[in-house]
Amino acid sequence: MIEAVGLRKTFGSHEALAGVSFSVEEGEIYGLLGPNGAGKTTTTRILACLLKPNSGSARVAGYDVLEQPELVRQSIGILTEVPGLYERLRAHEYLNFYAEMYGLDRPRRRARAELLMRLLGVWEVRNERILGFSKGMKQKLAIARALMHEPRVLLFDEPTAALDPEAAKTVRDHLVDLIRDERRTVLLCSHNLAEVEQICSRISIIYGGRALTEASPAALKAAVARSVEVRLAAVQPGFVDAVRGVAGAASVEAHDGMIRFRTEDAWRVNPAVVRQLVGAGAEVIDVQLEPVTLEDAYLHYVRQAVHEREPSVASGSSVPNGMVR
Amino acid sequence: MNRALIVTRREVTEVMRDVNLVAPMLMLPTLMAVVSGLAVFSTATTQTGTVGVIMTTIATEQVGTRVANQFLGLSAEAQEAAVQKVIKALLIPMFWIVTVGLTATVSADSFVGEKERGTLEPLLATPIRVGELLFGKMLTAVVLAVLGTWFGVAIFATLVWQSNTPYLPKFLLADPDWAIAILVIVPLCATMSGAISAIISTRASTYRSAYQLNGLVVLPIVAMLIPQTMLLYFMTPRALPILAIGFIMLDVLLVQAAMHVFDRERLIGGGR
Repeated sequence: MIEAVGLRKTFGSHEALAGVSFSVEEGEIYGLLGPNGAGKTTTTRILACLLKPNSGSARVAGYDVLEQPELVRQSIGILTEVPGLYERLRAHEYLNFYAEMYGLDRPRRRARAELLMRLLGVWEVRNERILGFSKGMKQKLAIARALMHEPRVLLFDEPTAALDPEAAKTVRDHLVDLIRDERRTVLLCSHNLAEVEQICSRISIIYGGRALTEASPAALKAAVARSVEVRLAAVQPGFVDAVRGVAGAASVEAHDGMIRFRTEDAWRVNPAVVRQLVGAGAEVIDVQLEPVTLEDAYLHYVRQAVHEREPSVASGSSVPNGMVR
Repeated sequence: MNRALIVTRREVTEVMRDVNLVAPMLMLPTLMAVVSGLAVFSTATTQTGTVGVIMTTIATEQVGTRVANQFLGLSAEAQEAAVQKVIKALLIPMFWIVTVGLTATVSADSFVGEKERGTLEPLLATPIRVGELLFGKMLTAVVLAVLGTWFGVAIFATLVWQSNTPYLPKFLLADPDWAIAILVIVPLCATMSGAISAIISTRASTYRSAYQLNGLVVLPIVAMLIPQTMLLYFMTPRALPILAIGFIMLDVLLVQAAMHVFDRERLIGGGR
């Protein structure tokens, strides 16, 4: 449903995208993660035919962004970083305006506006001017706008950033329902890692205009090195060397009756370590695998990228400004 | 309905609800109409009054002694005809300045204000063609500026009607020159200013800078036009039709230039 191949975009001497590729299947919620300035918005703008790539290609809903931009725009609903509302209009006037822009007839305009405003909890204020709306209500109205014409593809940039937890849950649930019921496709740019983990089937982490990795949230977490603690009845001098002999086990040390090591492949390495220890005469009481969050995985990839780019910056635990919220 | 007209309808609704835009749209033409009306009243009586004295003094100083003496040597009919010409040549361009000012106010808000408020990106992501967007926005600025100017002309025409001045027709627009100037050249002036605003909007990022840039570009053009118009007016009775044709040509060029530079990427600002 979305296919980006080698997207490259420069603004003057600044390279915003350096060959980003990914594809999103129909009915999938795909997350685009990355620090500020990573290239998420540029990618979204190219997919919405607002910017033209210097090279590379993209297809959205089966249409080429360079050859068939009007068909692409008819097929997408976009939510930008700021709600972008005409605040001197009333809520229903605003939705009606956008519905007209997409060519919806009057009965459909009314039906869609009522459905979405009721769903998102802004029906009661439909006759009020947007100027007096709270930030959250404005965001809900912007979401309703993006959904008015029932687009096949949704490009959402931080859809729940301004919402209270209840409203954020409503939006999340609505997105998931859309996917389930209507086979909509969503490209979600977000800093909200918990939300991304909850609703996205796959994630791409981009940094410096490059895609660092792409996988499901579970696979991303699994690929990150994590700590393993093996509690033993007693630690003998040879046990540490026995664990060091297992390929994939790193930073092995003995501490307080435990052997501790790090691994990027716990599913393969842990059984091997246990076998090695038992073979060396150890009595294994317990094996603890440190839990890894998506945030850990995200930071792991971004720090790695920062280190490759600027070795002096990423030696510590900090990441450049604005990387995570 | 054509998407351009949908944009225009939405923008007109918004502008009419914004007192910061409506106030200058009413005040500027009213002020110009009242000041011009006072000048007209001063010509209607033998007692010129303070305004008449001041204006006569200024006019005499501008014209110079030699020309003034030549004027005084004319017959009464020729003097009246000359005064009629002077009044027209002075007053008509004033309303064009009103038009240009109003167009700049509305179009700076329409083109760059929208960019500033973050409403442009969702709009550009709709299937609207760039030409439709340009037309819709220019139409908003032109319609509102023309209506604002005509509002001022209506006040002025009422004052003229009340003044019984011998130098202007009782029904202002019954005079072909006034009719052409107000009904034809005013919309053309607005189109010129609107097209320049559209071109500027691809460069400016704030309402203030767009408004100032528009003034910098448009006002010198109008300032040059006024003396040229006056000169042309004294040289030929077809001055205003000639000027209208000139405006049409200028507008066609400017609209084409606006179409050329007005694209989504430029409007977004090419930012990330």
